[in-house]
Amino acid sequence: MKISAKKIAVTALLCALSMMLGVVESLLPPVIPALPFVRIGLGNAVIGLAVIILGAPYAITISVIKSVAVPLIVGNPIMAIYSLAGGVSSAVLTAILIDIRKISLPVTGILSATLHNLMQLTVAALMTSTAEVFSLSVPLFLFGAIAGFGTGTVQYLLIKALPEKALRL
Amino acid sequence: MRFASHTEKNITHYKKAPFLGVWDFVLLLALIFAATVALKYYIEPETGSVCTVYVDGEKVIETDLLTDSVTAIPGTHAVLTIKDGAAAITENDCPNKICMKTGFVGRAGGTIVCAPNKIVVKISGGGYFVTGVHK
Amino acid sequence: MLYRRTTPRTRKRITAPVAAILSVIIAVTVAATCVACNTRDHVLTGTAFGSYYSIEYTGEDRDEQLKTLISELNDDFDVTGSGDIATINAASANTPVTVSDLTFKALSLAFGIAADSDSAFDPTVYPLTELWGFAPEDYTGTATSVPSDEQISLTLESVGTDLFVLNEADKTVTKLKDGAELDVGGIGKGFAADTVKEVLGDDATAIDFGATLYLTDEAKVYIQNPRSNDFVASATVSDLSVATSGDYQRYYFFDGVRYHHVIGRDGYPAGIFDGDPVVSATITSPSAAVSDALSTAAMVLGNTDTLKALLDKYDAAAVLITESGRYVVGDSPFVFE
Repeated sequence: MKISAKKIAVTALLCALSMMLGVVESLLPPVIPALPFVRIGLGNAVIGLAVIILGAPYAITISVIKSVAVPLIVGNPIMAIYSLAGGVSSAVLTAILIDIRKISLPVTGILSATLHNLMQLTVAALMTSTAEVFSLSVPLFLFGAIAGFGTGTVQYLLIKALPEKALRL
Repeated sequence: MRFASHTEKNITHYKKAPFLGVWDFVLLLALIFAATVALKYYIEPETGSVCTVYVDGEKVIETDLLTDSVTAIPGTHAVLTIKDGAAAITENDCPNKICMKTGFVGRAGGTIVCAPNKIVVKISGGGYFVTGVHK
Repeated sequence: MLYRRTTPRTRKRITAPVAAILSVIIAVTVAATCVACNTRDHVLTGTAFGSYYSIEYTGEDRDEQLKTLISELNDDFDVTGSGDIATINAASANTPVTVSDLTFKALSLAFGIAADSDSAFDPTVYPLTELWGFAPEDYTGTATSVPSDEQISLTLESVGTDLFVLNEADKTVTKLKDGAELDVGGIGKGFAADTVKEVLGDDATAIDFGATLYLTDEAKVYIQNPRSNDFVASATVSDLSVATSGDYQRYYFFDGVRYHHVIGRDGYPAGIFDGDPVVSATITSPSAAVSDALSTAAMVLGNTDTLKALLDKYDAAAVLITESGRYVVGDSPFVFE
């Protein structure tokens, strides 16, 4: 595997970008009051981009760092469990879907967001030892799908717009 | 690691890829189908002992009998109490207080009715019907 | 993994028909889901006739239509207020009162069953109902006294189907004696269930007016134990109505004696002088109104040949529960637990 200093530098940049987006998102009021950990997931747009230009291992690393750092920065450490479960699993799925190159980026975004939310709900259910949380799943998944489509579209536009020379690292 | 060799191909592919391709439509259709099916299940109430309270025909409370609680019935001065898997009206401002005399009702099909205040407390669940409930 | 390159021209040739086919599939799917959404199960619930109702049906949404119909029936059958029955009760003798078509239909049916049951079911006993303290505004579940024999004899003179004239042509009801009053409480819920069933036709699934049921789709029904919080019998029925009358639905104790709201032909609560009276009667028949009315008649008639003949006439069956025994009269689907 080609581990270049350039790639590590870009990884760090994207990581910082993703964390910043995550922190900004946390400051916004929750979309669904009952589920405070549901966010727009702007940070995930970075993950998809990272998979394409850096490769899956780098992208997943960014995801792990982001999932742990943002909750700590924001001051809500419990959120880290939700973030890790949801973020890492969706990052892995993003990597797989992008690598098979059969599905477009917006749709990959939808699927990854859905998995992210599903994992978060599962963690919530395990933490509260009830299945009650799943009753809120419909608006959650709907919102997640739309948000995923949005972040996927952002990735699509970025890839199209940025010159190839800049993308090849 | 084998993923690394993909970045070149990924960049080339996604540079040229259309916004939505063939497989995307297939996936989206499958998603919509799954969502509609899930929605049907979501909207249908689950079976199980449910206590529903109607005031003037409108459903105002729907709760299960598993958790003890004391709730004011909205739009009335009545109070619904759930204890040990049964429900009762424990406070009301109706003249005859027959609803309160009915006591606790826990079986499916059981009802408590306060005609003056148009309150109906109904225990449902189990998908069966009961005839001859205490009026 | 292979990455196959396609030229722009090849892509155009493939994408156009593929897009067309996919659009058709999408359109069909969306249309199908819309249809499925509209023809799903509906459950309409509310309060009427002093109790709740619950109507399950399929097909298009007819909630508003049903609510209006039930509201009309509720207001017209109410002994309080200003509907048809209340107007009749407040009217003086020989004053024709025009009623709605549905009210007239219900009254005709009620008077017909009264005639067939020799007044075991009698929609004109309201003066006695009031005397015994079971009028909706008076009933408290307790009593400080019970009517005397003299009061009962006097009130009996205002009771009887012969005190009313029903005019089919004008849809009018005329009482022949001041003080005569009607009460369709013993048939109202069943009549409402039948009327809703007529409106819905095959779309009806289950209709429940305060535990008077009409079940179209197969369903399990339990008979409430009149003395404790469990069930005494069950049945799986379809296309059948079920109604129950009992001495535990509206009653009070006075001097250790239970007085209930089903008044017999002698002016006293049915069966209180019997050794082993019927305390709960469940009727099954093709008509909910008939089941409702006959459940009252069964409490008055008890387990007799007269009851059997009456049930046969209306294609009905009964489950009678007394303090000491349980009986099935006719071809009832119920089986004791």
